[in-house]
Amino acid sequence: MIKTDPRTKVLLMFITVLFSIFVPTGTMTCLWIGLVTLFGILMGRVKKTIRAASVFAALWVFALYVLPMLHGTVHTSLLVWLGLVFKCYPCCMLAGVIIGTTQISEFMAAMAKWNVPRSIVMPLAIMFRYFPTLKEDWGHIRDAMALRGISLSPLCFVRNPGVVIDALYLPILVTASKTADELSASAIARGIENPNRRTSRLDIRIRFIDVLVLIIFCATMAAGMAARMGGYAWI
Amino acid sequence: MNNHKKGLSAKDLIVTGIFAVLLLMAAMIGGGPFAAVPTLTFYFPIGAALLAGPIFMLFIAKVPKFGALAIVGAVMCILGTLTGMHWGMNFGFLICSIIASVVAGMGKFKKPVLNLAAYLVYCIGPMGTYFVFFFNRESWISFMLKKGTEQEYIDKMNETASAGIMLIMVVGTLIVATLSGLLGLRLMRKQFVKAGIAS
Amino acid sequence: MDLEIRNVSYVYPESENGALKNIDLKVKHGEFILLAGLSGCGKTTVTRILNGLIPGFYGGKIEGEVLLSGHDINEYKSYELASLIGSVFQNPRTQFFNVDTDSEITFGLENAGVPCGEINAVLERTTDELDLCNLRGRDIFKLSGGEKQKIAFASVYASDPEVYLMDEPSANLDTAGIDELRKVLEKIKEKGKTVIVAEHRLYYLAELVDRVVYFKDGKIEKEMDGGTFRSMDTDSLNGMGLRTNRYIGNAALDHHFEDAGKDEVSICLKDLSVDLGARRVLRSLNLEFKKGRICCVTGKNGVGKSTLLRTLCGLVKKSEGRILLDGKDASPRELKKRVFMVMQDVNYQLFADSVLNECVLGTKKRNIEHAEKVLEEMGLAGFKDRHPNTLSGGQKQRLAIAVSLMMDKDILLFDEPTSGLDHGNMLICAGVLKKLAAKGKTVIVVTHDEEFIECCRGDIVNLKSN
Repeated sequence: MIKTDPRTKVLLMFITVLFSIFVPTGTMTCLWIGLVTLFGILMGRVKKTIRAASVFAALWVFALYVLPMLHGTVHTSLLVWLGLVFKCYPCCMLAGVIIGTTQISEFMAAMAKWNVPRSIVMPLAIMFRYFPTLKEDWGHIRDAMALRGISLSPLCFVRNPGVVIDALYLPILVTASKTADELSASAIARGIENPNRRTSRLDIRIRFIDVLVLIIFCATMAAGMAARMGGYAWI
Repeated sequence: MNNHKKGLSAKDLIVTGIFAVLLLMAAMIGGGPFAAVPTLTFYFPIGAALLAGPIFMLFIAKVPKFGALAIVGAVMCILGTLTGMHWGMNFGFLICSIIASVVAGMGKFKKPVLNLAAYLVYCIGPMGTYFVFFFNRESWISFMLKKGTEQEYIDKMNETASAGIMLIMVVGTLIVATLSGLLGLRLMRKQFVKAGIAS
Repeated sequence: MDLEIRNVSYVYPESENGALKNIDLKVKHGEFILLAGLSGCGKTTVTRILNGLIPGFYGGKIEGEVLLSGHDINEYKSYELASLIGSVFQNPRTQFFNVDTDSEITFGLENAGVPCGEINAVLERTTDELDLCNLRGRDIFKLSGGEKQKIAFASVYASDPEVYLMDEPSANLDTAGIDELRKVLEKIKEKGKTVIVAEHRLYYLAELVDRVVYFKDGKIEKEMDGGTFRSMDTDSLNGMGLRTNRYIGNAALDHHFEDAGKDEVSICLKDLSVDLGARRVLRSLNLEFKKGRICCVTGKNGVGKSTLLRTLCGLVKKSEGRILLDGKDASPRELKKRVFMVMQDVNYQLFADSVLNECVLGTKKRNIEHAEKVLEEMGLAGFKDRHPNTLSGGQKQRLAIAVSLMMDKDILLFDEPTSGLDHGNMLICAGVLKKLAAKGKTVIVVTHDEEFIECCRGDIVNLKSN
């Protein structure tokens, strides 16, 4: 098991994004997925990483061996869809690993070390915090709608579009506004407006393992680029 | 102790964070079903534009300042990058949010027509991915059809990501965004102002 | 640190509620002050002036002087005040900034730029002194309301302010949560800190207060010392619109109300079990609810009171057992038709653009006359053109009840209807419930408010954990 700095993870993400921009889908994609899988397992996220890798393998086998047997529209649409999926898969999978192994406070502290401006860090922090609240609110709103005999089914919508729209937007936006007000009041009363540099209870620094992981990812990326420039058709 | 400065106050930033979540969820719920179905993938931006109108309108009424929308774009861009969204969409979001902010700002965030136009611009953001894909499709298709004939290749190119589909995507998104934006303006008048959550 | 408010008047920019007129108040270092009074009397406004949220956050113009240790409060920036005056707010759901408990406790210190090592030392000390070791490193969203409020308190405690300000900290807590709150208040009082609490529920503060300041219509009507307050009886407090200063407790409530054997059973649970995910929340429950009666369901946090209500509404499917409606097995669909719930946060349930439209919305026949009659009955006739969101908490609740009456529902459920209500509104609420019962409705109330249970004089069911 290893532990890496959140900044390393962000850099890995950028390298992977560059990879998906510049390296076309092909054998290199498989290699990259392998790398991400290894990283995920080492970070201690074993089960989910292996599952994601298996899904990728299944899709890849399907694209190589089953897809050519199909014809017509099915073939076309699957072709396009798989094209998009394979483009996004390395990023999404790495994102899963990163999100699953990083605490928000850790992330915020790392962002602060990078001197990311407060106007970006604060909304980001609020977003992470608000997602679960929205989920709870949504559950309550669904209940409230059901009690009034309103559902989100198309039938109900056609019968009474105005009511469904009101029942959907008003409670969400009213509670969101209330949450925003109360949260701001509480944050201001605890000194969020302090212009001094924010500190963190977590000690975050780049260690040897971070450098090592970065070197491995960069080297793979460089190899992929070089192979492409060299014109090896099999890549 | 006075927060009524020009820049964004702590409260503005918190409101921005919360509304960024709402805008993001609206895009996911509206567009998600499209993204998951192969034949409909290209219509994701249409779905994404469907629900967010009222949220967008309330947001610019609550934080009528230049930077707010730009921050939404920046935050979405960072979050999108960290969650492995396609970079075309992320930067599309960022750029379109900044432009939308300028458009709405021209009317001091109070002119309904400009706010509507800003929403249209904002909705173009998610199309970034598809533009990138459209101009980049050769490499993937050539990888898939190495063994195929030349003719087959040309057919596929015309079938997938044809200019027609792109046109439907752009026009469809603009129409849906207009409807959603108009709904937003209506709800502003009919509900939000009276409810005291926007002035 | 001494606080002094000199001849302060204030009006909110958009509302007349909570305005202050010529307030004079001196608080000496180490005093424990209770601000009491009806909703909208201005007691919350005082706390907001002291922590600087007025005028910085809420706007408006403030007249008069507020002095902290002899210095004008305007000389302090919001973050400077934050280290001197710690605030705990009413709603435990909306006052935290982080998703894990440790980061939340250290939030104030991080804002102030305290070095890393020191922050961790303070974190250890705080959790030690407040007995929070079992809450370390937890997901705040998975905590109960009481635990959340403890974390909010710890977050303030970690910054070690001289003054603690609290605005209805007990509003969303159950009896056990309130007891925990009382213990931490005792602790800071012992440390010699100044405490100012604005509150409706008074019993848990009775032993702690040094002085009670009673507000009425934005003015200080009366000040009394702790001894006088403790010696007051419930009737004279009620006469001032205040709640009791004594703990009622479940034991006192355990008297038998007149037997009502002849009442018809409207809803009956037989061996009912409900699972949420993999967890069995309710196990083999046998209960009967009767027509024309109020039934109060009590029980600790997490025994499944909310799940019981949601099952009765048909929002959750039962796993085993039977739910009988007038003697017949009822599906969730049938339950949904007959049962209505007034939620703890009624904001979720109101979405029309006026009070009158709220009533006629979704009903089969848009019967305006009937709606007006129902509103009259709920004491909302004068508000029919207002937007529901601009009503007070108690009024919103009555509007939700009006909606249920419009929909002809005959079984009405209430989830913590008195959280955040003052004594007067609590009485009105109890009156409305009695009225509903007299009409032959079945009324089921989940509550932890013993004072309210006593007012309702209904049957009591105590849910125990399985």
